[in-house]
Amino acid sequence: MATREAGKKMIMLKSPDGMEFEVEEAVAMESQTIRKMIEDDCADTAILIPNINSKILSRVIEYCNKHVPTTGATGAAASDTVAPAALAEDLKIWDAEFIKVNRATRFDLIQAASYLNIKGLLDLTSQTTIDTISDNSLEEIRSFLSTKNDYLPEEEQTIRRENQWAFQ
Amino acid sequence: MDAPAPPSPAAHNLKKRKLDRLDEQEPPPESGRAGDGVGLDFINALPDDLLCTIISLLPTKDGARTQVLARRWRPLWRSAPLNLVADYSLSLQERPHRPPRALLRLRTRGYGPRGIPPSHLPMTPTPSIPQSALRFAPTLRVARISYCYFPKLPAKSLNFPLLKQLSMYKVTISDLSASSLNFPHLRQLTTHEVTISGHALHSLLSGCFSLESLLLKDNVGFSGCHELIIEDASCLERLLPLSPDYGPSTVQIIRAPKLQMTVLLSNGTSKLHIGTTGFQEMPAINVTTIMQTVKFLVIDSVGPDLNAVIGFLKCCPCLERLYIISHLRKGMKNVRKYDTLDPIECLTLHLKSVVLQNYWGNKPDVDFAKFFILNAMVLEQMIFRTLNSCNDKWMSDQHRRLQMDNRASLDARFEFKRYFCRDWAWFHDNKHTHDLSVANPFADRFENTIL
Repeated sequence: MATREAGKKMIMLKSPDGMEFEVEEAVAMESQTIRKMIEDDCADTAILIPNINSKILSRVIEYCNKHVPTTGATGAAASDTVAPAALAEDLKIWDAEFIKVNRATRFDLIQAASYLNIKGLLDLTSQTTIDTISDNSLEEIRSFLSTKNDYLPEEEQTIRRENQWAFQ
Repeated sequence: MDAPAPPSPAAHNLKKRKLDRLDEQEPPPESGRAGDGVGLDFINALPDDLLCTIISLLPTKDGARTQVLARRWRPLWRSAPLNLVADYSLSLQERPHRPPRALLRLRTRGYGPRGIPPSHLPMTPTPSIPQSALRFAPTLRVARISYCYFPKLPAKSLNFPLLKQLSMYKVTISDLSASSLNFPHLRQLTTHEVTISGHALHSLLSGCFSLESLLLKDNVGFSGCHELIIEDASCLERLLPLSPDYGPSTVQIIRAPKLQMTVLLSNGTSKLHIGTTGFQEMPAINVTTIMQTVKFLVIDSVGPDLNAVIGFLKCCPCLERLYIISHLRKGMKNVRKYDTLDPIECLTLHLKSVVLQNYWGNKPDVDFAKFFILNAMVLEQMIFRTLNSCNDKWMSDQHRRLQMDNRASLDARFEFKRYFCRDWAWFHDNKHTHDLSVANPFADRFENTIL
C-alpha cells in the first residue's frame, strides 16, 4: 500500500477530444471502472476515457471531487468517522444544484456514470427521470423523454387492459 | 476544477421540481444538440440496460405503465428487475405503518453494499412481502427482493412459475415459507445476506429444477451454522458460495452433472463433501464422485494447503483454470513428491492457467507454486498476484526458488502482478456472474488487466 501513503498520487484522464484532466487518484477511484484499471496497474500514464467528451468528463470529475471521502480513501478509519448530518445535507444541496442541467447533458451524464460505474452519480442522474415518470401523466412523460407514441390506438388499449392494475 | 456557484437552499428538493422548470433550462429544440449527432431523442439514445435500470428503480406500478410509452419500452419492463423494496405504492393500504425511513432511502439511493453499509442501517423490523405484490407472482420473470420476509402462505400463493432470475438481499425465509416457495423455471439465483436455515435452503434448492447459476453470499443460518447441500442439480453450471469467513460450514455436492465453475472455501468451510458417502473434516476432503465437467475452480486455501488442493484436482480431472486465494500460514509444509505412476489427469492434460492470489514468496507458497511449475504439463500461464514490490533482486530470487527453468510445460508464461487489495472486496459478483455465455466471469479480475 506504499503508493497510497506516499502523498497524493495523481492520475491523468484524457477525453477523446484531446483534453487532459489531472486528478487525485482517490478522486478518480470514485469510478469503479477507473479503480479497476488502477488496481490492475494499467494507469501509469494517461487513461483515455472513450465516448465521454471533455464537457461531460469535467462535470463527472467535479462530482467525484465533491464526493470523495474527505478523510482519505483508505479503509476503516474513514468509515468510522460518521459524517455529520450537516455535511450530508450540504452534499444533498450540492447534488441538487449539480443536476440542474438540460436534458441532453443529463442523459450524457447517465451514460457517463454508467460507463465509469459511479453509483452515486448514476442514481442522482437517473433520479430526475424516475421522478418525472412517477409524478406525471403518460403524455407528459412522453414529451419529457422526447418519445413518440408509435402504438396503434387498439394496441395501446390491449396493453392497458393486460396491465389494468397499473392504470387504476 | 472550479466549484459551481453556491447553490440556493430553496432549490434542493429534486422531487418538487416541475417539468416546466426543467424545460426553462433546455436549449431551443433545434440548436442544442445538432452538432454531436445524438439527435433529439435523448433517452432513446440510452441503451436498453440503462433504461431497465431506471425502470427497476420505479415503483412497480409506474414501471408497468412505461410499457405504454412506445413500442421500444414494452419489453423493457418485463426484463427489468422487479424491485420489491420499491413497492409501497401498491402496499400502503395493506400496511398499517408508513415504510421505515431506511427503506425509502434505499429506494432513492439504490441498494447494495455500496449504497448504504448494511451495518449502518437502523434496526427496523423487516416487513412482509405484501400480498398485493405477490399478485404478479404468476407473470414475473425477473425479481429482486430485499429487506423483507416471505409470508407464511400456502404453496399456491408462493408459486413463481415463470421466474427466471431472482436476487434476494437481506430477506428472511422461514422453514415454512421455504417449503411453499416454488421456482420451477428459475435459472439464476442470488442470495446475499439472506437468513435461511440449511434445511430451508435445501428444500428451496431442490425445487429449482432449472437452476443454472447459484450465488450464495454471506447468508446466515438461524442456528449460526449453515450448510449447503446440492442434491440433484441437473442444470447447475455455476456454484458460487462467496462467503469467505462465515461458511457455509458444510458443503455437500451430491449430483451436479453440468457443473463447470465452482468456488470452494476452506476458510469458513469446515466440512466439504463431494459424492454420497463418507464425511471428513477439512482440509481432508472425501471424494466419491468425479466431477468431469468442472473447468474453473476457485479455492480459498489457508497455508496454502497443497494436499487439500491436490484432493480437489483429483476430483476435477478436466480442470482448466485454477484460482487460489491463499492465506499464508507459517510452517505450512508443502513438500510433496509427485508420483508419476499415479498421475493427476488435469495436470497432465488440461490445466492451462493457475492464479495465485496473495503470493508472498515465502517457503509455503513457493513450494505450493513450484508443484504446479514442475508438474503441470500443459500449463500456459501462471500468475502471481503479490503485494511485494517485485524488485529485480526479489524477482531473480523467486525465479531460482520456483525452479522456473525446470518447468514441465515449456510454453508456460509466468507473470508477477502487483495489486493493492488483499481482501475479497474484488470478488464481488459482477454483471457477468450469472451470464453463462461468458465462460469465465472472473477472468478479468484474476487474469487480465483489461476491463
